[in-house]
Amino acid sequence: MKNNLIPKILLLLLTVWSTLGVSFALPDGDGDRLLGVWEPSNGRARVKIEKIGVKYYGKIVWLKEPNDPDTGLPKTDKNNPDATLQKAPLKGYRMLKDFVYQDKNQWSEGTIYDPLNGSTYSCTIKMTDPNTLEIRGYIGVSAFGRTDVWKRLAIKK
Amino acid sequence: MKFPILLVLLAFLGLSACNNDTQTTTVTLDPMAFEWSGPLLEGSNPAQVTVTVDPKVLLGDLWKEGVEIKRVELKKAEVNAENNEDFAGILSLVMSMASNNPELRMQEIAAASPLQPEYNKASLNMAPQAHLDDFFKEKEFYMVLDASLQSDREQDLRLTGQVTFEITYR
Repeated sequence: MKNNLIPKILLLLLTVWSTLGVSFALPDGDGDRLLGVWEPSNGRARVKIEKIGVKYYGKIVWLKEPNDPDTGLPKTDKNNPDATLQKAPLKGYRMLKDFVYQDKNQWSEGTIYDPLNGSTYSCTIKMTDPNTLEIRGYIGVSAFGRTDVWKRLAIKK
Repeated sequence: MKFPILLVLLAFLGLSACNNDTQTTTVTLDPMAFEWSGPLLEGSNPAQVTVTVDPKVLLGDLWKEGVEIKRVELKKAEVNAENNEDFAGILSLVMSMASNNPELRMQEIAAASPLQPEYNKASLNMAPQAHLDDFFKEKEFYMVLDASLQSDREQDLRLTGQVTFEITYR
């Protein structure tokens, strides 16, 4: 009797495990591949992408030139149209906001902020391989925009 | 002659409609505990608190069936250090609101930079451009506090945020 019971328990455990496995592989998990530290093509900054709620946000965590050449002090977000934020350090500023994972390696509905001119643009992100992103900023419709290629800092094999 | 009278009449009607239809009250959210688990890295570190929106709770005795929140304005944002600590090692604080709603953008609502390191309480400067009404139409939203650290930190960090809103409702 006991001998018959063991395979049944094993089968039950396997079923439970595989069911849990499937539930962990929901779309949310797919979107999380965006998490990590990324470098734009100009190499002047590094951006860490994090998740708040169900959306994705990216903030500047490293600057090639961290200090303002005019003052010698750490760069602040001096071009921000909101005067309250102009004294906030640029390092740490959240420049990617509100990205929602769609499917097919694309995140949309977000915005990208350009600290050089204080402008915010609509933006989409496409992951072309696990270590490469195409970031497209645009005004109005996606056709009128510019695409930059970002590389993941810690290469995933 | 008729035109000015009509204008005055319309203005009077407009004013009385505003007065009759909407009321304003000030609401302070319960103190929010923002917690970071060490070790923390130099630079900006976010912590978040989920705020559940329930007009019944927000408005308390003022709540009536069918009440609708029309406008929300930030009136005060304060952050306190806990456990007899001060703000030593924290360069700046930025408070934001975020939502799961794809149509609702994250907004920085208040900031303090630089912080006075020897203090343990900071009044954040409020962003005049913040439009907060839509966050209060959601079931919940996130209050996010970014603490910018001067250097790496081994220990946990805990700060308390207190936020006051002016709510116009009908």
